[in-house]
Amino acid sequence: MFATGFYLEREPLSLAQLAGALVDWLQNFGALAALGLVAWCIAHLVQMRGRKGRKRLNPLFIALVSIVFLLYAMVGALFLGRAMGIRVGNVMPSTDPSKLLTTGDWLLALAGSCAVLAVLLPMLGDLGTGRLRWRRIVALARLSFKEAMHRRVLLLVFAIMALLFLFASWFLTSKDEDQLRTYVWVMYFAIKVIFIMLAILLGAFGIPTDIKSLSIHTIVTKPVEKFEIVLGRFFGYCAVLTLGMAVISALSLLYIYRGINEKALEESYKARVPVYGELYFAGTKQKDKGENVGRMWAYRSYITGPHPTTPNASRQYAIWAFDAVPAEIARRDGAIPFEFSFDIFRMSKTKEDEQGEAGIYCTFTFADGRLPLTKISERIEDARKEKEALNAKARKTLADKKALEQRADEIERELAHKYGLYSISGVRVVDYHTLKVTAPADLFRKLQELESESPREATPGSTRPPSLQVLVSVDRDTAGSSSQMLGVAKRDFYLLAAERPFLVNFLKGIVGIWFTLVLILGIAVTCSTYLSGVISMLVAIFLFFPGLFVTDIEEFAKSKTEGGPLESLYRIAKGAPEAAPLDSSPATSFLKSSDVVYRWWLLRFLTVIPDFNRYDLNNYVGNGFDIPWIDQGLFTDNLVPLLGFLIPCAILAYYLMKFREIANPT
Amino acid sequence: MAGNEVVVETRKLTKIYRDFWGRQKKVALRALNLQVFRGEIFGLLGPNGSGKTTTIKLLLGLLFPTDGDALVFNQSAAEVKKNERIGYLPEESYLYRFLNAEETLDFYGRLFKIDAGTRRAKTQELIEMVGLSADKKRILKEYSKGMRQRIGLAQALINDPELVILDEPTSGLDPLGTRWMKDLIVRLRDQGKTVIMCSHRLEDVQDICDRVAILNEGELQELGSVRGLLEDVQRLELRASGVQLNDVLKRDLDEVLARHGGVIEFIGHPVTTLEDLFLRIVAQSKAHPGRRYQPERDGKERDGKDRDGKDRDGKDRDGKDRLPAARSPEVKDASTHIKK
Repeated sequence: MFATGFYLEREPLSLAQLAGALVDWLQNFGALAALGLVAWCIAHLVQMRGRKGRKRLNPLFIALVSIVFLLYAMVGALFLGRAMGIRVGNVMPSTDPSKLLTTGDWLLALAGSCAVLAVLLPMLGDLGTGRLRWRRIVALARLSFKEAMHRRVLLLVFAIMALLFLFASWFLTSKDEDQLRTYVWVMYFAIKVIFIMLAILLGAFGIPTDIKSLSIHTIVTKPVEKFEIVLGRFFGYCAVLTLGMAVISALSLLYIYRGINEKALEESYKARVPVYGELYFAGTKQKDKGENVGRMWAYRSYITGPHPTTPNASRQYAIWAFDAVPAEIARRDGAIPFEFSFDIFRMSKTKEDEQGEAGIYCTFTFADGRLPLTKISERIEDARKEKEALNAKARKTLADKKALEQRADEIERELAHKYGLYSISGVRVVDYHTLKVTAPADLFRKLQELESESPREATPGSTRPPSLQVLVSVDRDTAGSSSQMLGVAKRDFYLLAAERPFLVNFLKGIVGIWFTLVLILGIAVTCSTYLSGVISMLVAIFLFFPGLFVTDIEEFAKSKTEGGPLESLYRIAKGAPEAAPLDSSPATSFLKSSDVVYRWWLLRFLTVIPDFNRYDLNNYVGNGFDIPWIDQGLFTDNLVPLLGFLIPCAILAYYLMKFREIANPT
Repeated sequence: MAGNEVVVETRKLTKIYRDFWGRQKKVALRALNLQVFRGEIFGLLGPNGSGKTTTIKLLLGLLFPTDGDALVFNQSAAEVKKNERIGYLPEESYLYRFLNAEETLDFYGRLFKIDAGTRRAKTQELIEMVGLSADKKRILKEYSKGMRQRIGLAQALINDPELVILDEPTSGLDPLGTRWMKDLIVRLRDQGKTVIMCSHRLEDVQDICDRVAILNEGELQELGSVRGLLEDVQRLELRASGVQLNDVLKRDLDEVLARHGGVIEFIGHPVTTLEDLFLRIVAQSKAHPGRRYQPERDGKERDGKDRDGKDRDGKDRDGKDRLPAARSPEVKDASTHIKK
């Protein structure tokens, strides 16, 4: 099976985080720009040595460079002061992005901003004085497009995809409801692999081939800025990739429409708009975690139901706290849908499908976010009693079954509104199946009324309470033995705010892949402004593959418990067990210090590696979840990071090309 | 004709090639001082590796000077804006082979600020000028070298440049193409354009250049007008018509020269150049298609002598010209170069 439910390894970047991300970007990229400025200053001084008639530099540029060096000197002084034991409050730059920015952070960000501005000045000057012209860029882009078409690169791509379309169904087997997931996964994977190869080849070989064949001589001797050649190549190849993607996407959609089955249609052929809550636990050892079942992938935490032998043990709850529920939900009539897809972990040996398919039974309680757990239990009990009384009364007065059902429904809604909670027991949960529960809209109207009566506020020592909380607990499993546990993660349960068409979502996923292509193309073209075609291709590949494992590398680089490569080598050589502490000696101290330096460099390396996984949206599309346009979606999580890498690439390409002697054989 | 306005100037222009580590590999050009004036054809001569192409590349901004200055239209050669007034034909016509002639000129035209209508008109005009009207829809990959050189020249002229820089413009061209190219260069000069060309083919340079610079090992060896450099004031050349060479004439001339302290070094009928001969043959062949060479009928071989060993000088037995004279008057006779 290719996909098992909707999961995200990291939270997408939100609008609220953009400012912090910008500061981070300025610090990282600004440091690189400052290094470039240092290199430029040295080269300039060497070049100007002994030359008459020095070229006048832009005073603004000189001012910015001076400020950059001054600010970095101040940051250096902070570190020096700390090394000398001088402490002046909380001013050191923070390594934890979640913490508040310190004076050191601001100094670094300001220095970075000035460095970025200094390196951007010549480019901005070229733009301002009209040296860079779209007319020429478009002409060069058209040339690149024609060249690629002439080489029939797209025909090759189409041929490979045609083979996939023809024979994929022979090899793809999946459960009926997973069919669309599988199709989307295979389509996206194939498109990605083929087009990434194409992007790297086009980007890496375009300019070097021009230089090698000397064709570029006929262009740079026209009134063409060298950077226009870079942009022309980039945009031309973007157009080729876009055309290819458009055709393949249309064919992929046709392929999907042609063969989708009913179950898959129901499961994934949509774009759900979910509203997520924050997950925490009650009745477990830790508030932020459930039970650990020993799985390597600790994405889900587990809760268990009451064991027959210890019925009075405290109950375990997975609780989703919704800070804000969309206002329009309260205006709806009828039931408000919530969907979930949980993992069921078996502690007893059975055939996989027997218990997984049978599932376990859970209770879902929707309650006012301000209510504590004990109060919720009391109100559930009160509501249950009142419900029984009202139902009994209804049975006496109403003979018609339909009217009785209608009255029962009314009672549910009245009680939900009265008590500010709604509880439903015995909901069957099946392993990795998307299922639905509903809560009456009256509950949400009540929450809104409460909010307008007394708005929720943070109290000293605690944060603002959520608007709604949903408690999930295990009643019993089908075997009645508590041998199954319920695995939950934040995104496993959500309020289904709306459902949008699959088609648009599929195209949004394609846009994600397109972003990947643009990024890898940008990297390859940038490399090709200085390196040969083959080397550019290898560098692009070298940057791409670590980009698929950024989360893992970051985890390793930030890990304080695991040893680095030298420590690991030492352990292997000595046969020392992994968990045992190393013996204390100068050699081991040296190894540990080297590993610290290695980790530091690894973290620096990560700042220049794009996280390519963020553009992989097949998880959303295949599972039928809407990809947001703006917040936590295409704009904030895809486009902004893309620009964050493309802008440095463009600046680097500008300088590499500007200072390159086109006709120099060395 | 050449004026006093300096179009190109180099001041102590030096280029040293270095390797990746900055170590000196070769001094390609050493302190070159040159001035090229508006409206002249300026030739750069020199053996391989003498610095001709390096000079051109420095003027075009394809290379950066190690020292000194290269100025074009009084602007630094690194300035891109100057390229609006320059046309450049590289040694090989390195054009995009997947484009046809029209597309090629259209592409290069788009790099200048030329509106679409003018660009289309200019494209057709240049294609016609370089004689590629019949082949304008064929991609350049299918072109012969001569055709590529022609379209290369057309792209260099797309912006109606004031300065045309030609690197080995006649390289790889057949005699017809060479003549066409030379005529065109002269025509460009006559239109007031400045032409800088470098070539290995000395006869081409001699034919059309007003001034030349001779480089060797990156150093300027000689600079001046072609006539000034080639004129040999120690010798005298006399041409006459309406008279056949015989012993009496030879003796009389000898006596006259002896009275003035001179001596005959060579006397004889002028010999045409092979280029002229070739051009005449082709021209006549076009006018009257079909095979002309018939040794059985003519009874002689084309070695310049009859079977009796008498010089033919391109005439039939009846003494009439076989081929129409198509030689331009400024081309010198081969006899001036022959020494006894």
